Amino acid sequence: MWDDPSNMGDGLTLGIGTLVFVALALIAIPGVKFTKQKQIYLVYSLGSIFCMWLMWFIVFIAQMNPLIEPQLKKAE
Amino acid sequence: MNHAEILGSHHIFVMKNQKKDDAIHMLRPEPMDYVQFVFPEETAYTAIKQLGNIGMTHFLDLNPRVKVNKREFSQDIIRCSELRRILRFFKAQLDARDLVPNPAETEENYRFTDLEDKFHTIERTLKDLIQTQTQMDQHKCELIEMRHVLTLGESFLLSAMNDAKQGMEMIEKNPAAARAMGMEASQIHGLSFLAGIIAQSKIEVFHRMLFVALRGNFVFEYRPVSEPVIDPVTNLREEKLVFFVFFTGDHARNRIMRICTSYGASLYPYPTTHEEHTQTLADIDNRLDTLVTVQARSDEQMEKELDIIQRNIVQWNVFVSRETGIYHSLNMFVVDSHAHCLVGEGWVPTRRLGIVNEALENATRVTRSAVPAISHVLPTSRTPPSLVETNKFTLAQQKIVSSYGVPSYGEVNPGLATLFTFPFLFALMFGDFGHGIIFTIISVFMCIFHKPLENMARTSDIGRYFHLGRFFLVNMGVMATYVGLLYNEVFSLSVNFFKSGYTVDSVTGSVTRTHTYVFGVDPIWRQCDNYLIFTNSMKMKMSVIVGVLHMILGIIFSLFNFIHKRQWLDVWCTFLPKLLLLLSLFGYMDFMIIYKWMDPTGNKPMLISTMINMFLGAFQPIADDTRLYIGQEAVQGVLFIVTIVCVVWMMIPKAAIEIAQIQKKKKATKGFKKSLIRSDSLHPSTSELLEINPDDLHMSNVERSDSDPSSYTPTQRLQKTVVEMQPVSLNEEEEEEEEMGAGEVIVHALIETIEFVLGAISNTASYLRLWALSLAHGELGEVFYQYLMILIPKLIPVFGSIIGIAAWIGVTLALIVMMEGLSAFLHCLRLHWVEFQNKFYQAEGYVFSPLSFKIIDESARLFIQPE
Repeated sequence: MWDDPSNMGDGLTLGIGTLVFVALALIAIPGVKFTKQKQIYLVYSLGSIFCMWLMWFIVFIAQMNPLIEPQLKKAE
Repeated sequence: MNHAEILGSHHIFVMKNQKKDDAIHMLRPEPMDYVQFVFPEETAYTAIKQLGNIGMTHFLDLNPRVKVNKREFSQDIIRCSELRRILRFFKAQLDARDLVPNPAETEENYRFTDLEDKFHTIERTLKDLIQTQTQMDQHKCELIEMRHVLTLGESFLLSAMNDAKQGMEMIEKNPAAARAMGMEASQIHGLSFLAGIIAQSKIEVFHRMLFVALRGNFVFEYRPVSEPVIDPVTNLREEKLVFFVFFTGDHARNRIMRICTSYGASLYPYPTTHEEHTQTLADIDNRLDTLVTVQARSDEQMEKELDIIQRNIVQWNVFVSRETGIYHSLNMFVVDSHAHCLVGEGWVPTRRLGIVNEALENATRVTRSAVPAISHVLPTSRTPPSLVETNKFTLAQQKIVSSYGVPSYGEVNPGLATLFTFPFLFALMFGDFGHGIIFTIISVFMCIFHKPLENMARTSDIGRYFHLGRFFLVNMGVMATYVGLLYNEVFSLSVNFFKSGYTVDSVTGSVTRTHTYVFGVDPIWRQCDNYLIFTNSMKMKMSVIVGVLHMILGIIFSLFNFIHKRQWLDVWCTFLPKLLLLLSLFGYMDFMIIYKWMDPTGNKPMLISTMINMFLGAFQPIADDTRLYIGQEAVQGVLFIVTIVCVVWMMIPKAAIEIAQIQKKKKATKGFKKSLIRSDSLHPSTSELLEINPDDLHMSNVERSDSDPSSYTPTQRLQKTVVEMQPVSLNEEEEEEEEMGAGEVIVHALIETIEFVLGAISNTASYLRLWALSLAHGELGEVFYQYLMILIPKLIPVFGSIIGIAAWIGVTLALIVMMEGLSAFLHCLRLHWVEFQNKFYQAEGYVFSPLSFKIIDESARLFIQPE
């Protein structure tokens, strides 16, 4: 299924998108040394980034292979 | 928390090593140690004061059987209560005049006795002032009334006197004519009168009463007073009338006076001659002037006193509250008069032991005591209180968790995970970019302007919640904005930031798909009839995925709990089957959802039927048009077996092992009981050790009389106390062996299994509320948009747009942001409290309540009762 041409662009987008979030996480991690509350900072930032990625991922793949076609509203 | 700030001035020296370990560990409540304190008598007060400054000691009451009024420091507490009463009186005086406490920010050094004297003096002065003021006010009113009586009376009394004189002359000159007019000399000579003032409302009844009482034998004249007068007795401003009653005889006079008192009429002596009249008037004026001056001076003095109170009352209240706290804690100590020391016990978080010891050292140094105040850790089997330190960012979240239940000591605190899951789940339900931005802006303003919010928080509960939760709300708002962008709903409209994945042919109107919209829901869906079909499907599946992940997190926390408590049996027989069951049922369902989404070419069977057939048609071949992937029968067969095995695994092994353990224990104790003399030899109760007589506060230690006690130095005496004493507190919380019979174990296991299996299904379905609320939110927004912004401007030509926009803004703010926000918050709370926490949270802890001046000061500053 992965060599389906219409999906190549989507696969790329998925990869890049995931990398964006990974980059966000990598940026957030060194911020640990600026705060005393290391545990809270790490759990909160990485947890939030994971949730945000998850949400984006779900919405994206839900549209990758659509089960229904959009039927435009009839113009009034 | 910055300890340097808490430890203010005077005796207390700044502790240097405070800032080493301020990191907050939220995963579990702080590890605690049970500490015994031994203070020499002269150091006890200072030591407790130091400990109160740190606020890290939870004292245990070692005198639970002693009545509150019979303890060592009860007198001091009574004195504190007296001071608090006076402070309440001061506050009432300020409140009555709408004065606000205006504290000077200096930290002051009070001595208790000085403050007592000061308070009593000020109270006496205030009370005297108030009393004289009332008296003066009353006197003033009377004087004013009297002046009215004299001024008004002058006019018609003179005329009445003239009439009388004329009558007399007439009688002398022409007795016959006078007799014809019915005037007798005796009548006129015997005429007397009374002058007074009465409220206008009562004049009619008064007149009638007089008529009845005097049988009509009187003359009644009255004139209204030009301005309303303040009644000296009732302090009301009323319209009054000056009246004169002319009558004969003393009997009538008494009657009139009695009637006057009963109708609230005030009688005033009326001067008979003109000179007396002018003199009295002048006298009244003089007296009024003096009165006004005196009143002014007394008001000045009152103001001065009130000013002192205003400037100091907050610090006084803080000081007295602290003293009360110190003495309450001192009362929890056991007094050993033999060794002249106080012994106490309490809980201290392990990593704060250092600063506690430093505090005691400081106390010793400050009081220059020869004997040091010491503390040492005792081993104990009782459960410590739970302390989860928070800062202003995490405070709200932790409070929410604690209101469900305080985390037990040693178990995982859900607050840590809730930090990011709560805003996320809230956002899933509230997802709208526009509303999220409004939400964020409002909460950011609350953060910036937190000072006025704090002032509001003093009076109202809701203000307090908003004040506490302001950072939390920003969090929720930001997440809601992000998710709203993903849902592609901006006030229920869509935006097209990136290129839409569908292109519409303008000629034919047909839609072709080019690619997937990069970030979020494709904007074309908003213009489609089947928009809801698509979003419902997506959101429902998203809810289930998120729900299963959330529950797996809960189960993993239960694993943490089991490992921490070394309950290996639970790890193998509770955690593992639960996890596998959830994974093989709903984890598999999530897998199928994701597979179905990501697989471009294969079948798209209904997942519900697939799930049902997994159980009903297990091990049977799957028809080609309902097959999702190759090898599906095998996988589903395996998972089916795993599910059944897990259910049995949850029920039987643990119950069997526990029953075996019970049998073993029964066999073991049967033989042991006979050889046991005393069942509880390890912890002799304190009363044996110290011969505590509850009615006698001072106890003697009989056991230590092996050598002559007077030969010991004080330090040695203390050391002996320390070494030989067991935990002083009466051991009331002995560990109970839950004597469960075999039947109970089986029932327990059965219930747990059924609860979990059914709960797995119902909890997963419960997460569908994430979908339901976001659907409601979107639909609400769309409906209001359609009606208010589109329909109404169409119907009403000019003003329609204005009305529509105004109504739309109002509805958006009140209904959608506020009401929906609250609703989403509530459902998110429920998801956390029920579906997430029932996987692992026992919440059987009790709160760590230390003697903390920080907490005491807070409520003292606001003059609210501490919780």
